[in-house]
Parts: sequence; structure tokens; C-alpha cells
Amino acid sequence: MAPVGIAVYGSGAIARDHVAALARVHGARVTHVVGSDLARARSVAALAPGCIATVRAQDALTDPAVAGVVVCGPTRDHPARALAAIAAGKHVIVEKPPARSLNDFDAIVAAAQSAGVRVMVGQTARFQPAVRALAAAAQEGEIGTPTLLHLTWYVGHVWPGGWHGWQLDPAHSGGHLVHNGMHPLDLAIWLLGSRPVRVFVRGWCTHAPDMPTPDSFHLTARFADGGLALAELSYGLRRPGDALRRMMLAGSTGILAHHTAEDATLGGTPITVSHGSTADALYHQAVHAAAVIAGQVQPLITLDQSRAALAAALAAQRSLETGKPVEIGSDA
Amino acid sequence: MPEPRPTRAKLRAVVVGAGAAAHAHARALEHHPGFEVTGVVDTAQQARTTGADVAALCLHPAQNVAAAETLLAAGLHLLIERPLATSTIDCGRVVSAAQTAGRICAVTTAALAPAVRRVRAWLDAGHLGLPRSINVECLSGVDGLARAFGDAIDCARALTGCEPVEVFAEAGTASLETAVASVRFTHGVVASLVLGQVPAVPATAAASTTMRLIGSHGHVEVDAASPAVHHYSRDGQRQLPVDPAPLTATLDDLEASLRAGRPPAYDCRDAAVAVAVTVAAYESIATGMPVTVAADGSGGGST
Repeated sequence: MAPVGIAVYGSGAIARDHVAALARVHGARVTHVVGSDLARARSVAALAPGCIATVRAQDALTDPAVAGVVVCGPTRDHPARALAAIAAGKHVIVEKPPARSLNDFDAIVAAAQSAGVRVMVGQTARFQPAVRALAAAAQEGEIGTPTLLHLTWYVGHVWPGGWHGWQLDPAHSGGHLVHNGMHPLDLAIWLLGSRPVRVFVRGWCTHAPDMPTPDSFHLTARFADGGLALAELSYGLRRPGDALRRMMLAGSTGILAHHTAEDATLGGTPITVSHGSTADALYHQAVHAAAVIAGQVQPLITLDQSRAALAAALAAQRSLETGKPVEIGSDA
Repeated sequence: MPEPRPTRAKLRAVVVGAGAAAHAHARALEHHPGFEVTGVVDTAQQARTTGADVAALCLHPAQNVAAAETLLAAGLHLLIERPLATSTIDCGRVVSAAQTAGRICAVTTAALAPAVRRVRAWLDAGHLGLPRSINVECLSGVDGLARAFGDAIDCARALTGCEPVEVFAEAGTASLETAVASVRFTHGVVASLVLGQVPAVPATAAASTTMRLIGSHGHVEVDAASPAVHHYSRDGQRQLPVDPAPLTATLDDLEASLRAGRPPAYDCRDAAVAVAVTVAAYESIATGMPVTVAADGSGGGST
């Protein structure tokens, strides 16, 4: 059986990671890297044997060997890129967040349903080994009904480009609550099995007060079934590579907890190494994405979950900006 | 004229109350080299005539204000089991009574746990720069949310050195008694709280209190029960503490303050702040809005 052809739309840091991960997936072939800068696209395409670098999206979208497209790049470009791929009959894996508005997300979903193609939002955190183990235990009923989630996610500054990085500009990213708030909100929706109905956020700039978006925030979320979540994210630890990730999920009969402090660490060296708890998440996602594109499995991340996460993230961004809690209607 | 400082080898203590907290206080006092227990009684009136230097009040929080006013007026120093009271008005009465009597009115707190004080010392030495955020998670198989709110605020104040300004809180309505909260402190410092009475605690003790602080120049995580020696056997695992328990640490500080004639590291004014934030948190839960905590720790109002 021929490997499933997958094009990657984007040539930035995340696109590079996707190509490297997909290149390792048995049964998948990266056919194209589409970028706005040909030299950069070539350097990314070089990670996958036989991959073509191009600045013309149509090269990939008109190629019958391409079954699916992984959409990367600035968030503002996600909807147009996804819609173009869908219009060409390609399945789509779109980086989180899929859009900066629910209308744009709904347009992607409607187009996909009309075209009969599959769409999945790439929520890489779900594929971290520790998250998978914790979620599996929860879904097997090890703690009864989950009702309280505490997620801690502290890392050093990760955004490239200094002051010019698009991630810092809410106009491009949708704001930090949309850009990275999607991570904990998607996990909370998955692990608690319910929908957020109210969020409240405080954000702060750890080091550079003039950052256009806070590098850190915490978020409270109330869920439709009475469950609660608190997520605290900081991209402001002093050293790049520093990480503190922790999960505590309390249920009616027990607790599941994990901390990256239990990972083996490499002391005395500046080399950044993967932690066992989080290692190879993008590869595991790539394996799943290839199987989704090939029609072998249903997407782990459902569109209903992604819509609820995006609605909550948009509400969280409003809460950050207003200092008030924001209700999320069932039709949001 | 300053109050004469106690010179006895052991300070005389009477325990007021009959519940689990009273037993814990009596046990801690008996084992403490600075105190001797002269009696365990049911009421403040009974404690007035025992000749004790200090009374340990282990009553329902709603009973504390009347008992404290009685014993402070009688010249006793106090150690009150938290929470101090159930309202900011009652807290103000205790603070006022202590001031009028010129007596020490200490209150039990998680903030005096040695692990917490060590981190505060690192902060004071400048190792972490300026605190920017703190998270406190208090999980217990026994204690309810009111005590957890107070403990979390005590720890956040102790580590940041800042005062709470505004709180937003949510209470869970599923099977467990749970809450999450966001608190704004002075100097723009923020705190997040995760509180719960849970069926199992992620520790070998009956409760777990952990904190994570990010400063401008570093971050730190602290478990109030760590470090410890871990004991493993066929019967399971248990933890042998390395540090004194928070109650013992509170007694250490109380004895030192009585002998030196200085205020304790944590007293009824601090405990009043914890109650004020707890009251504000419950108001926030009821209204669904952030609630301000007045600068004097009293009252609140939706913002």
C-alpha cells in the first residue's frame, strides 16, 4: 500500500517540527513544503526525502498524490489555508488555534462537511506520554467521575523573532489566550468530559512589561456539569529549556497526578534534552494524523471539542482584556 | 509600663475545647520544651482561673470572638486554632481586644511551616528577584474549603510579602467540595488557588499543600511537607517529617515572642486578612464577579 501523501503548508518553526515528525511515520510521505520564502521552504523540505519545496500552494493542492495538508503558519492564515486545501479535496490537520473566530472555524467545518473531507485540530499536548497515560486511566474509571483539574505548565521563552515574532502580536495570534490557552482548555474539555461555561483570566508579563501580550496567565474555568479547572501557563521562566509541568485530576473516588520533576534530568550541561513525560508528542500526533488522513481512524480531537476549546479561549482572551469573568453560551 | 516577660522555664498553657484540634494542641504543647499544660477545659470561663500564661482556643470559629475577649481581658495570651472567626467584624473585635489588653493573640497557620519560611528567606535574600506570581494547591481529606482558603492566602502572603486586593472564585458543584480562585495582590502580583476536599490526597499525609512561585529572576516549588524521610514496608508507605510540624513551629514562635516581648510572626491581624479574603471569595462565588478586599482586610464588594 502506497504511503499517504501529506503536504505541509508553512515553513516556520512548527512546520519544521511537523515535517521532521511526519518524515519518521511509517506509511506517510511528506510531498511538499509550501512557504513564502523558497530558501526557508527548501531547508524544511530537506528534512523529508523526496519532498518538494515551493512557494505556490497550488503545486501541492493540485497534486493527486497529496491526500492531506497540515496547516501551519500564523493563526490569521489558518482559515484561508484550510479552506483552500478543503476546496481541493484534501483532508486537513490544522495547527491550534484553528482560527481567530468561531465564524471562521465554523466555515472550515461546514466546507469540510460539504466536501466530505476530515479536519482535525492539532492539539499536540494530548499526545504527550504522561497526558496519554493520565487520560487513559481517567477514561478507564480509575478515579470515578473527574471533577477538578489543575494544570501547571511553566516553560522558558519559546517564541522566535524577538519583538517581531508574530506570536507576540494579538492581531496575528488572536492573543495569548487563543494562541496557547487552547492547550489547557482542550485538555480540560477532554479530561473532564464537559464544556466550559465561564472563564476568568489574569495575565502578566514576567520580564518585559511592554510585551504586547502577557507571557503568563492563569485561567479558571467552570464546566457545564459543575466541574472546575485551573490552568496556569507561564512562558516566562528565566532560562530557555526550563520546564515545570504538572497535572492533578481529582475524581469522585481518587486522584491522578503527574509532575515532570520525576523525569530523569541531565545536569551540568546546556544541552536541551527531551523529558520522558513529554517526549515525541509531535511524532505521536503525526502517526495519528497520517492515520486520520488515510481514513484508518477517527480523529482523537473532535470538532465539537475544538469548537468548545476555541469558544472558551476567545472568552478567556476577553476576560484578560476586561478583567471580568466571561460566560460562554451553549451556542457560542 | 511594659508588661513583664515570663521568666518561668516553662510557660503554663491551658487548652480550651474538646475536639480533635484540642487534642492536637494538648499533645503539641506537652511535647514542646517551652510549655506545660496546666489544664484542658471546655469553656473560656473555666480557663480564666487556671493561672495559665497562654490559652489555646480550639473552639468552633463562631465561638472564638467571645472566648478571646474574655481571656484577653483576663490577661492571658492566646493561640487560636484557625480560622480566627466567621466574619470580618468578629475578626476586628478580636484584634481590638488584643490591642486593648496588650496581649499576644497568635493564630495557627500553614505559613509558619519551615518549608514555607525557608523559601521566604531565599526571597528575602534576593535569590528569586521580585515575586510575580504564585500558585497554591491545598488538598485535604479532612478539612473544608474555608480553612483551605485561609491556608492558601496565608502561604501566598508569606511568600510574596504582598497583600490581597481582589479575588475571583468558583466553587465546584459536582461530587466533591472544590474551589479555584484568582487573587490580585499589591504590586501586580497574582495568585491562583486550587482547593479541594478530596477522596484521596496525593501525599502520604492527610493533606497536601504545595506552592509554585515565579519571580523575576527564578522560580521555586515547595511542598509544605517536604523534605521527609520515606518509610516503605509491607503495610505501605509513610512519611517521617524532617521539619517540625506547622503547629510546633507556631509554638516555637509564640514562645520566642513571649520571652522576647516581640510580636509573633503571625497573629490575629494576619488571620483577619485570611478571613477577609475567604469572605470575599464566598461573595465572589455567590455573585460570579471579582470582589475587592479592603486594605484593612475588612469587608468587600463586587468590582
